[in-house]
Amino acid sequence: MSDLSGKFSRSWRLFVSSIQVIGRQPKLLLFPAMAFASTIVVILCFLSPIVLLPTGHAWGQLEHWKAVAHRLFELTPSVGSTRHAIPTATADIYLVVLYLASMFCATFFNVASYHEIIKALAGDEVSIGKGLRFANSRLRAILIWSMFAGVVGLNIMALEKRLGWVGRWIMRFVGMAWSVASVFVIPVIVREECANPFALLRTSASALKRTWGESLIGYVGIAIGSWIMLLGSLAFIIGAGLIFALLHHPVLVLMTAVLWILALVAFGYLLSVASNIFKGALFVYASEGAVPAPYSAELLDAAWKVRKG
Amino acid sequence: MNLANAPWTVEFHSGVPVYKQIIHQVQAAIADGRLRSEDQLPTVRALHQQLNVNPNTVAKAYRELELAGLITTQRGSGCFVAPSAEPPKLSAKDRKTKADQLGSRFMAEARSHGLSIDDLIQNLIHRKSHV
Repeated sequence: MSDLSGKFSRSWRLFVSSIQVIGRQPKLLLFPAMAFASTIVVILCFLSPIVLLPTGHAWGQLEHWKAVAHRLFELTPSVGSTRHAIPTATADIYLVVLYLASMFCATFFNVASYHEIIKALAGDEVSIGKGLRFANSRLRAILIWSMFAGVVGLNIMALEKRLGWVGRWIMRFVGMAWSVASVFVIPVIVREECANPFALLRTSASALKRTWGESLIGYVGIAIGSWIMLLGSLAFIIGAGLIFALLHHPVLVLMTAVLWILALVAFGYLLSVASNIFKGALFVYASEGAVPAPYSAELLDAAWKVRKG
Repeated sequence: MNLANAPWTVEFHSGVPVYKQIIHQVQAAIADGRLRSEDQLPTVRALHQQLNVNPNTVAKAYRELELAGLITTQRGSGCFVAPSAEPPKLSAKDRKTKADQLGSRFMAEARSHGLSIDDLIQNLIHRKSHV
């Protein structure tokens, strides 16, 4: 029990420390929004030729959208009473290219973000423009890494789908090992002028191994602390919902639920930025050997799940 | 001599934590006479900017050097090489023994990294030309 409360307390302090960095440099909040916006633009660019290509029907007609769906999916021959829609070869290629393009966008803005996170942890001023210019100077490494990581991710997913449950478990472990080994790849791209994905992966994994040993099985991060917030907010929403329901105020019940969902989205966003800052601090600790403010060595040492025995 | 503008370097991919690389550079500079007692070291802020590392990393390196008695910190003035930091004067016999010990360790470590004796000689000659 005390071990669990210790984990909660450490995770909470990590979250608070990361929030302090955001408080000092609120511009850090903008990078994920830019990544999201660019991904939406990429998706629109990819989808619009398919959706807007003439089908002989007006866009407002149902037939147009049926024709669009036929371009992307075909129905399997009926087995009994069920037929399944499966993607066509064109749709498969399209989805893979779209996935890789969105991986590139995410990696680009991640590199910009980590460049500025490392500066923020050093007490320097954050600049969106400098972050983006820096990412631009690392385009080759970003392109190669995002393609490499994208292909690895696609293969893991494809194998997970095709294999039986034993194979799925094995692939899940492979996926876990991959996410642990590659955790520092983006900060390594920031620090080193290297575009070789194998060298990037090796540097990331060896920084981990050197600092936290070889028995890491996962990343604890700051997610545990956020459960406290989630549970607290859940108690609040249930309580408020019950009171308004008893008072026969359905509009207030609905408004509370909507506000709660909005608050959760905002909190999730904050959590993802805080998590990146924390990973930046872990990288500084692993590569430089010193603890960046406002974290402590005790907090950073407890960042990983370790295999027991 | 002031090393504030000296070419300090760190290699992030070397596998050696940056704070240790800074310590090694100060130790090497004291050992080969580039730094003498009471010479001033660059400030934490200057070195953090020059090396593009976290200021806590530079501060940690300086703290360890101070604990080892190689430098002293004077509040408001900065860090200086300690008067006792200069290498002791050894007799000819002691110098030979020490060089033998260091050479053996040096060779063993170099072999474990796949380096040949020629690689090392080349590196030492390069270093000598820069002292």
